Amino acid sequence: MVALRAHSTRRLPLLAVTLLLLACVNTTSVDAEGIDDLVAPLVGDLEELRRSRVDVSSLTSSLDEAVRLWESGDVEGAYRIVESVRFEVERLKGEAPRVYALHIARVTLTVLALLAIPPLFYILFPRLYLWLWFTSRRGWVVVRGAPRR
Amino acid sequence: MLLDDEVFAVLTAVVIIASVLGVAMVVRDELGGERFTAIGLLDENCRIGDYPRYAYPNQTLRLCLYIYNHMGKPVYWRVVYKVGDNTTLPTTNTTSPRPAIAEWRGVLDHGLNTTRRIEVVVGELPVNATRVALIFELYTYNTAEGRWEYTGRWVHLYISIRR
Repeated sequence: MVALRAHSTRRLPLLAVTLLLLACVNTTSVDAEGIDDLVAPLVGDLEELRRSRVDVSSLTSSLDEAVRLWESGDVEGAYRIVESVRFEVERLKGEAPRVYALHIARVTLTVLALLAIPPLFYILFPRLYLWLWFTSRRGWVVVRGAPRR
Repeated sequence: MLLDDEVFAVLTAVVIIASVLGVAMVVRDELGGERFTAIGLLDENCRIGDYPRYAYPNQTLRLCLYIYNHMGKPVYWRVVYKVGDNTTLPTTNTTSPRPAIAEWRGVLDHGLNTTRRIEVVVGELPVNATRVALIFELYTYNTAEGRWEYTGRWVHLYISIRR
């Protein structure tokens, strides 16, 4: 019994070091997964917002800044930025349908305007040309038998 | 004749072609075009050219990573650093089997690029290696499936090992 206890006591520092190493390894992996768990859902939201044509460039930059802070060890600063991005994302989600509708309307109008140019040119250009031709010669006088220039 | 028919036909054709090109450009912008990401390795001044040629085991080297996003959406990217040789380089489909030594993450919007100064340790060397490859693999986060995906893009730099 005494021998067993002595044997266990000798192994205690080794066990402590092993546990400490395991804790370090575990903490590192939790940290890496932690930032993923924090940032990935917001990136998904930003993808969705961008599909709705909402400008998310500033939010993307903020998230990038948060990731850098996290990597440099400033977890609190990273959390603060992530929270502000989350708040802004929630606000923009409400505006997304209106922004998308405006975008679709703008694209539709642009395409329609571009498609309308050829027929309008076909109809209007000869008339405009004639109008300019006659306007520029308004003061001309027709003289019978005048020499041709 | 005030307006020559042939001239009018040519002008009309030019206008039709311009109109079609305009519509094509609008549609192309909407579809987003080809989607890809890119990774580049730059020297410690974030320029192409003055790369380290050799290192001692466990020496720290300063380099710069260049990442570009053209995926039509913001991406959450990750670069994993490994040290291998010419037999353990990644391919466009598979990653290097060597262990990851370090990694860097970031978020990038569509059409933007970023350069990041990094410090890498020339460690985890293959046995008896005299010439190793510093390997940088680019991953992006698939938000739909909730996991990292290898993009098939990597960059590597060969250096000699001095002991």
